[in-house]
Amino acid sequence: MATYLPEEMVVKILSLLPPKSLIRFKCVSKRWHALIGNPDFLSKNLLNHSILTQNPCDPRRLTLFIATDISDPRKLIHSFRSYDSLSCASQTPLNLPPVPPSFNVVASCNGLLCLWDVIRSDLYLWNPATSSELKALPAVPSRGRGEPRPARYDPGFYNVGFGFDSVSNDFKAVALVDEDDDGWLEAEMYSLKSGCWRPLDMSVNFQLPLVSQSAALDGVFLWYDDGDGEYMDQRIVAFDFSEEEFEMMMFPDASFLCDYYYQYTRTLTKLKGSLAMVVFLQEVEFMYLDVWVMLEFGVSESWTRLLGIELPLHLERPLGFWKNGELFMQDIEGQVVLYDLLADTETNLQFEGYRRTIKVVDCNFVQFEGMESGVIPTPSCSSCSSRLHYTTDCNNHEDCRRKQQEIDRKLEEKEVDD
Amino acid sequence: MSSTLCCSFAKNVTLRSSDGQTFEVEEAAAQVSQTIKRMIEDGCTGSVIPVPNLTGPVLALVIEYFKKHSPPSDGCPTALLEMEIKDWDAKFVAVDNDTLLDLTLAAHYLEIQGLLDLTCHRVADILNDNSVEKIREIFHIKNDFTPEEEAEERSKIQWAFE
Repeated sequence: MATYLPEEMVVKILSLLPPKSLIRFKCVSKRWHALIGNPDFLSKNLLNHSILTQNPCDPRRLTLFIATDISDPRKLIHSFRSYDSLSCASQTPLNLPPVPPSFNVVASCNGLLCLWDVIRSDLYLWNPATSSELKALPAVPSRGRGEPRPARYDPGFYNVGFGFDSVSNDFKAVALVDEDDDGWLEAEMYSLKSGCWRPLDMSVNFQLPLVSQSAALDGVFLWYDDGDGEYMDQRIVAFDFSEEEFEMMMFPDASFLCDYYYQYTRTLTKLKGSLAMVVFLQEVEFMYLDVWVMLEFGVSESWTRLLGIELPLHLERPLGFWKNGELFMQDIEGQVVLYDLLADTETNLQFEGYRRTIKVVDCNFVQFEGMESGVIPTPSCSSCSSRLHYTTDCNNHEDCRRKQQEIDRKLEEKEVDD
Repeated sequence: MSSTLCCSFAKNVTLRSSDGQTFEVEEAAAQVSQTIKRMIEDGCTGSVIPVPNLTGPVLALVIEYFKKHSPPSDGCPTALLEMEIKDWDAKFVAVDNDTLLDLTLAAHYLEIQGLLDLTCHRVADILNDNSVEKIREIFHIKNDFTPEEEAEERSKIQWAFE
């Protein structure tokens, strides 16, 4: 016997589906078409719910505000908030040790934060749940191309990414280096399990500005040029930590906006699980914000415009989305406010810092399986882990040795050619 | 332990399906359904409780679910027991599509929150894996788009079909 479900049941079931499936199912019938609705941020329909609304979340998920201190520009200040309420976290993780403002938070995943000292080109991991010490990663090796890089003052690498590879259960950091000083970047990858760096094959070639804008999604890290795209020509560089591959992706075509406005910036961020873009247009007496979401990661056609609104003039910079599509913004005083785009209301979150330095980081302190609580494994590769001088050979690991042999062979070939 | 608690375990209720089949089940197990729980509290226990929206075979399945999910007699469920129940649940909803929809409806009528979540997630998983045509078949939905309308709609969202 055929069973017909009442509409409230159909709605309950459809509300469990991801945006891509919902969009496909708009073709089922006219009734479903209407129920699923349009992705416009505004209407109460299934598609907007699927794009915007977070499920009740884990209490161990925290939001970190970090910025350069206004009263003492030599140090960073930070505040951990409960993700659900944005009130100060009741189980406060340990404090960040005093570090200079040259430290950037690269990303946070599975309980670890990766920090990058841009001036000294050092990378650190920090587990705020268990330690108030930063753990330095071994230096990125210079692969013997040209003179060894003088330590300590050269900006050794252009950009850094950090993420978790859920296939091999490993944390990975990637450094983009301009080895040949020609603007084209090469990549070195560090895996926490192996404890050493190794060069990556570059399947695509790209250039990026020094310390580009970046964004982190689950298992993927992205770099982009936020302005007119001198280097990037409207493209995004994405790195997949499991595949260990780079991919170029296109920004959505928002040229209809740029015809009208002279100055704009693009911010890539995360909206629920998807990649989102916030275009911010600034004129003397006018501020405008446009929100896009990439409903299927890596598929340019799936960039979908959600809304465009005029903003209060004192809001200066978008910092990322909160759980139901509210936007963290920095105002002209350097305060972090939560702006509700639909209601046009704002809440001051009692955190201030230098205007351009504020960052909002989504942190999840669920310990990942296999890693003992709070212990960051010590790099086991003694050769790689040396931080006093840059090293070109690592013979303790099969993987490193193989890679090194490959590089040596290429260099020899090059010399013969020369 | 108090004697009233012992007695409550022994007490049975009789449920009658839409096609007149009757099933006897422990009262504590049947109270997994909020609807039946209310009826028992309202004093229906002496007589047979009618379940007019469910046929015999579906009610038989739901009673299996009751038995597995009745509160354990010796206090808190252990982690091991919870895992076993989770496995059992997954097998329980691995049924043909019509039976799954019948169970979904039954969970809705009888207000069995656990079963409702279980079946809805199972249906959502099936939807995710299937084509538009197959979904119309599963849900018995008539396609009321004209071929031109459907073609136009699809062309706008081609990426979602790939």
